[in-house]
Amino acid sequence: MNVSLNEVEALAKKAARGVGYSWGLADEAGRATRWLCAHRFDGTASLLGLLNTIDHSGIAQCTPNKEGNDWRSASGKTCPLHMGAALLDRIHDFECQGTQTVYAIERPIFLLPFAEEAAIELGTAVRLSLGDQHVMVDKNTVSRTPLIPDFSMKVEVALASAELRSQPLNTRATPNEHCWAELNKLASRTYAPSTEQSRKLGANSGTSDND
Amino acid sequence: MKKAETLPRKLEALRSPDQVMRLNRLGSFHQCRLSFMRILLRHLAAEQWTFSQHCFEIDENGVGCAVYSAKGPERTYSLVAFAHNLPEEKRSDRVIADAWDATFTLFDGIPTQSDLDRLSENVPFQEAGRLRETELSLSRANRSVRLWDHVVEALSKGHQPDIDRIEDIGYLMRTTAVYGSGKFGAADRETICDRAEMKAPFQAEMLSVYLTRWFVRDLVQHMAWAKGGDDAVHLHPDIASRLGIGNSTGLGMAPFIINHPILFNNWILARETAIATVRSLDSATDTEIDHFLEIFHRASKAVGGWKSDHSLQQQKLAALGLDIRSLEAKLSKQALSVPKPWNQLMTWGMEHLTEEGQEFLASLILEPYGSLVDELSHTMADFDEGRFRIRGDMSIAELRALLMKNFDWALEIDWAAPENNARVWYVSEEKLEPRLGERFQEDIAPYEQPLAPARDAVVLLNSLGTWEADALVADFVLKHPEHRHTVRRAQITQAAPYSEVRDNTVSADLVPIDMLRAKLSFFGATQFDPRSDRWLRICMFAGAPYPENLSSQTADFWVYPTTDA
Repeated sequence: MNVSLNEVEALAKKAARGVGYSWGLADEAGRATRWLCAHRFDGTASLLGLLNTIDHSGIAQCTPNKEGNDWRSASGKTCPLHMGAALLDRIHDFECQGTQTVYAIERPIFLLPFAEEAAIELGTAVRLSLGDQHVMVDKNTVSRTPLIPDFSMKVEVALASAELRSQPLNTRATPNEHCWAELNKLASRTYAPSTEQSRKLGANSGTSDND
Repeated sequence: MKKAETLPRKLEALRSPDQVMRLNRLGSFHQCRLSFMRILLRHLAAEQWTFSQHCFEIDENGVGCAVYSAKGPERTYSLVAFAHNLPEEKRSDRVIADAWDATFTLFDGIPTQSDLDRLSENVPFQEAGRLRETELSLSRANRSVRLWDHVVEALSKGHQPDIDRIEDIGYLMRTTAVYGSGKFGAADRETICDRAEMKAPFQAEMLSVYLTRWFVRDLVQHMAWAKGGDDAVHLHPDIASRLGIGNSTGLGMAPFIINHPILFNNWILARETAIATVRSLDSATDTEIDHFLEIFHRASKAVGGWKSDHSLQQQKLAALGLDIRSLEAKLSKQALSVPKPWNQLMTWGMEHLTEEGQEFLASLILEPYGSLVDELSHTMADFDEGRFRIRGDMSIAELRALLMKNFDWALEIDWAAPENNARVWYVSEEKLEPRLGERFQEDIAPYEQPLAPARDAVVLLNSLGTWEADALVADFVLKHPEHRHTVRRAQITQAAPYSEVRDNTVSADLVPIDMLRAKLSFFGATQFDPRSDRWLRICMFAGAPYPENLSSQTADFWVYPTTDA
């Protein structure tokens, strides 16, 4: 499939809402998935994987909790969208607080878009360390790395200095059809079933429209 | 350019959001110099765009394909039109229709035969087809059966159509949806928004409608020739120029102004800045006064021809008629040859005119001052709305203050009363379109969309009650992700004062067409004709020069009918 990034963002937002994300975090899901697709990652597949986990574990259990510079969730499946948003919300003290450590995070790839925003805001690259793997993120660019795992026991997020060359961004996404269909299924949970009553009350189309 | 001494030294204060952002007033907005249709035609004329019909392969039954191109200094855009033979019983303006009299896409460039083959397998199916990044819009139109048959019949028999019927209806076809940015696979706006001709909002969509009007004129003529042969005559250019393109718009458009707070702010802010700029002028020259008076009379004439069967609009039109009479009595060269004439006039209008009349006047005073206000069109796009980031270091006290500044009025509302929380905005499974339901009559609350910012702001204020004043927003939204969207909106108001509608968007007495009109007025729509409280018809480009006559002389004031016609 070949879809526009607006279609990706709209579907991602609805699918996230479909598994119970708040509207504000569903917005973040939409933007983050779009970002991944623009940066040539398979954002829709990552999102589907994440949403299936969240759907199973319950969203409240995946909310990150902060203890000092460490972040953990009750379920041991920390939501990367909530986590990324929480890190960005604290960008004002990122420089003072130093390295932030997130434990047991699902789909850590979703930290990348938030890391890029942080990099833009702070004017310096951000480094994500997953064990001995490092990913550097700066404006419009991500250092190419081996595959980012679906789950990571520990991710460290820190400011770094790096010279990264800007990469051209994709303006389209090419999701797998099955994945797109599954996201549509999750999104459809946000649609009210249609009834004749709702059709009448909702669109109020009694007046003739063929004249 | 204006001489420096006529530029305002100090800008009058902008009208406050409390005054402007009420639904009654937004639902009384009129088109103005900063409307997107007018921005488009001024731009095309200034750059001397050229236009051509690439192909018109349509048979005697009105079935086939046509391509119309607009060529600018750097790029060409083409309207690809498919004309169909639609059975009478299939013709419906509703979004659930699945066949139309004509279907369109705006192509980025000039399509090859293979593009046309591909498009012919997709565009006629609209939402059920797929577009590519080379396509910038997707739309469809149905004939106005009242007018189409009459015009074909008249021309085919060698005479001109009845001018009263032309005036009464105003268009031969009406579009029932014009989709843009990224919809159904089309190019995202982000991929074209840096182009000079696409910088202002909705320019691709407006260009597609402008070219559609040209195609429709040719199609009706073609059908007249097909029917009448040698007996048929050309549609008189004066009659053709009065024809616009209709549009039938439903609830789908209403959430837009709430879902795009920064963009909507930019539109309102541009118009309010324009109004304040003109109000700040110390004096008006004779030429400016003459110009204004001429436009006022032409605009008044247009109001005289504005018809609606809907009681809400009839009342507004009656009031506007009285307002125009008051203005006629008030306006004269002498009355405007005073210090700060436009400010005096607007201040007088506040006391003596209805909101319809006030907004009519506010749009009209901009007309003589294109050189002062047209530049504001560059500020009307949104600059990466998605990038707006929550400021987590804001204190709870600051957040509270922001909410109070924008939503103190909402605290006065008893949100537990059914009439104040009567409606639910939701998306139906059937056509994936926004609808408005009744919270206490249907089981739809679980599907509610976040389109009641005022109610949500009050819920947020209540939730903030137990938080310390110096606690940080970052900590609050970590614990309360359900308020994240409302916190974001509140912070947006800091930089975007006109981002929030200051009325209850889920109340029992909400009139959704107010939201539609606010948006459509910025498109440049005229002849608002509500068909219920939630869908309406409008007219676009009526009076505009066709491409062969588009020039800097004709590109600007076409929206106002000449008084001698």
